[in-house]
Order: sequence, then structure tokens, then C-alpha cells
Amino acid sequence: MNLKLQHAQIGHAGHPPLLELDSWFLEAGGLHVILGSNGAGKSTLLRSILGIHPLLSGSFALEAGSRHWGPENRANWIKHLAFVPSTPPQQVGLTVREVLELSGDASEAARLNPRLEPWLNFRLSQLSDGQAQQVMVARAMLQSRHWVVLDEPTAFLDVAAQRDMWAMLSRHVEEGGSVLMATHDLRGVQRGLASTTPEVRSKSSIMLLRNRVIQSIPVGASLEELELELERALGG
Amino acid sequence: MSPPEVLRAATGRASSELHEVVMHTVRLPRTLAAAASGMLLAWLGLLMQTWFRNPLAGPGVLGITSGGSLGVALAVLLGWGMPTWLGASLGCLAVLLLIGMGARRFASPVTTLVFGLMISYAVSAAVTVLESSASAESLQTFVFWGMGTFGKATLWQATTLLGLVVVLGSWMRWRSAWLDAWLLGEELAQTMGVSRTQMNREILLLTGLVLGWVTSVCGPLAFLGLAVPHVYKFFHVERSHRDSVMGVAAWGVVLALMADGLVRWTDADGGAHWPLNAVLAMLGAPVVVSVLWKRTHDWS
Repeated sequence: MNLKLQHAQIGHAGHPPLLELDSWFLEAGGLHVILGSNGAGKSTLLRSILGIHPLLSGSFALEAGSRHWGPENRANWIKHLAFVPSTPPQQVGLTVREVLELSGDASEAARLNPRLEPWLNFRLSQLSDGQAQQVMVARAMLQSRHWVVLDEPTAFLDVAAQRDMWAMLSRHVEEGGSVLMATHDLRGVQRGLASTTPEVRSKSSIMLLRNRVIQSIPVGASLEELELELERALGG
Repeated sequence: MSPPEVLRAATGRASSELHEVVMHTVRLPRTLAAAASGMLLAWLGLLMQTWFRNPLAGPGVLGITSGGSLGVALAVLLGWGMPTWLGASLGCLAVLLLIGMGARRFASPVTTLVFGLMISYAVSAAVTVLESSASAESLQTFVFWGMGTFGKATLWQATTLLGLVVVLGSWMRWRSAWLDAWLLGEELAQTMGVSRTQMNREILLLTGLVLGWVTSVCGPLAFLGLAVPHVYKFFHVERSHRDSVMGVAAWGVVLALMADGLVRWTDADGGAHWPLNAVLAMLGAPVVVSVLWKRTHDWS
């Protein structure tokens, strides 16, 4: 289930495009991280991919083998792309179970992340931000076995909660899923990637979003090499 | 009438013709109208609180009911050749559209509430202007309508209210997954399959229609919509819309019948008549205050 954008201009109508992607291809599997400063267009890119923000021009599609389809078919699209916003919903009286069951089987989520089990009958509003964010990631994993798209998911989380989130995301990749995450937190990403297995890392990439283009850097197995690559890219 | 007599009259075995008439033209329509309006307003309150993701939303707070009043004022006071139910429905719908537009523009639900409150004031001002230039007779009709009562409903009107109960109740259950997802946030809900335009359209249409009809039959009823979901939440654990629809309806019936019982009791007493809206405010205001009291630390 690869994700492909062609001649896509991303931005807001009536303004110059934030991003111009002639041909952007994301291979299924692996953790793909978009790094960029605030206002670079990360969120708009994600929202465009999710189909809740219109492209200025161009198109994008999911492909698997010879089959491919676009976001027009909403029912199909949302089975392949699920979203985790940066802040977990506030003051939601629904229980964790009720939230999870909007997208699938709550016991399946508890299998993916056993920590969720004791929270099932708690209200989402009774959990800490870190716990609630884990619930939201689990919900997204129930909605889509393919892509899970996260926008600054760790912005409000402490280090321990960030570690739990990365554990869930690499679990998702190990089970055959793909992750697309936007963040400005380079250190967090390095720490997170270091916590995953070499196998997950070998399929992952970091994309620098600057000056309206995306530059992709494969993570590979060696984190030292990645650091050098990033320094070179950021320096140049 | 004593309870056994009520039962006999209700089942068509009244001991006297008077009892039968009282039952079918007074008691039955009044009770049905109260129960149906209680359910409808309770659901609309729940719906508004979900739609705006704000525990203090409700048809009355957002000025939607005032819109209905303006519609009725135009129909009754200005004598526009328009039935009151149409005036009320159009009035509710107009305000609802305004609020819907505001809600899209304002990021914060609190701003939307303030916007609704301002609309409410502006609309009430327009109603006051109409009142001051109305004839004494039509003014009296309008003022009494404004106090609210279940007692003016005919059997036919009560039956149509029950019809709306079926419509709105089925819709709430049918759309419960959308409403639940909406609570998680507008963007997230859309990535979960909620069509925002479709849902907004359905909510606007249903709320305008239902509130317009209830308002034209029973008057602009205060507090029921806002308060009932909180009474429900105080006593029940379930929050998903599918599981709470019946409970919220039940509490709507209980509170509406309690309020009407109190009104009838003051009537029978021969003393001062307590208008329905006064009774509803007396029952509802403490509920809302207790919500504020509990939530002062976290509502925004």
C-alpha cells in the first residue's frame, strides 16, 4: 500500500503553495518522519493526504500492485489511512472502550498494547495526556492496518510517554503497517528511532521539509551515519 | 378525577361523559405533549452539547429558541399571514444557520456560545420592539405563549410531537457513531468517516424543524434542553450516543412531567399561577449551576 503524490501543490487557496511535490513516493512499511520547522507545511501536507484539506493541484493515490485509488472513495480511504492529532481530545466523557470501539475491537487494542487493558473502563478525560495519546494511537491502528498518520504526536508528552508511543508505532510496523509522522523534534526522533529494531529502521526514512521541497534521507541501520547525513543536509 | 377514573377514561370506559371529554381533550394531549417535548428538548440539548463540544450549549442558550420567538412574534404581533409553527421553525432555522456559520469561523466553542448569546439579545430586542407596537389583544396572546405551557396542545399536535420523537430518536441512534466521533474533534472525526457537511445539514434541518414545532405548540421552553443531559450524566455511566439516547429521553420525560405537575398543582390550588417557564427555570438553573460548580477548573 504505497503512497504516491504526483505534481501535487499543497497549501491554502489564494496563497502561494507551501509545498510542491513533483513526484513523491512513500513505500509501505517502515516509519517515515517528516521533519520541518513550524509553518513549513507539515500539517497541511498530512491533512491533504488524509483527504480533509484539498490539494491546490495534482493528485495522490494509494497503490498496491497494479491497483490504486484516491481519496474520493472515502470509505475505502479511511480503512487505509488513520489519523492521530497532536493533542489528545480534551474533556471527552466517552470511556476508553467506547473510543476504541468506534474503530474496531477493544480487546484487539489491548492485545496490541497490554497497558491499555486496565484503562478500558476509564473515561478518556480521566487519563493523562500521555495515556490518552496511546489510546488515540491504538484507535488509529484499529482503523487502519496500513498507514497511521501522526501530526506532532509527542508535542505534549514527557519522555516516558514518548517512549511508550514509539514502542506502539514500531509494533505497528512490525505487524506490517506503515507510519507517517510529522514533527519538529529532531532529538525526539533520534531517540525514538534508536529504540526501534534494526529491521524497522532499515525500512524507515527521514524527510526534511524545507524551501517547499522534501529531501529524503534513508535511516539505514546505523544511527551514527544518520546523524552525519542529517548534519550534512541541515548544514547545506 | 381520581386515579381509577383516569384509568377508566383512558381506556374508553369512562363513568361519565365529562370524564371522557376531560381525558381526551385536556389530560391526554397535555400529558403526551409534555412527555414528547421533554424527550425532544432533552435530545436537542444533548445534540447541541455534542455539536459544539460544550457542556453549556443548548437550544435556549444559543438563541435558537429566541429565533423561534421572533418568528412567532412576526406571525402573531405583526399579523403576517403565517401559521405560528412555520414562523417558529423559520425563526429557529435562521438563528441556527447564523450560529452554524459562526461556529465554523470561531475556533473556540466559548466564542460560539457568546455569539449565540449576542444573537439571543439582538433577537429579543427585535421582539420587544414588535411587542411595544402591537395591539393589546395580540400582545396578550404572545406574552402568554411566551410563558410556555403544555396545556394548549391539541391531541393532533401532541401526536405530531410524538411523531417527531420517533424521527429524532431514530436519527440520534442511526448517527450515534458520527456523534461519538465528533466528540473526539472535528478533523479527527472526518478522518474516521464523518461527513461534516452532511452532518451539519442534518443537524440544522432536524433542530430547526423539531424546535420550531415544539416552540410553536408549547412556547419557548427554557432550560429543559440544557439541563436534562446533565441530570442524565449525573446518574448514568454510559456516554456513547447509542447507549444514552433512551436514558436522556427518560429523564426528559420525568423532568417535563414534574414541571407540568407543579404548574397544575399551583393551578388547582387556586393561588398564584406559576408559568411553565418559571418552574423550568427553578428546576433547571440549580442543575446548570452545579455543573459550573464542578467544572470551574476545566471548562474552556
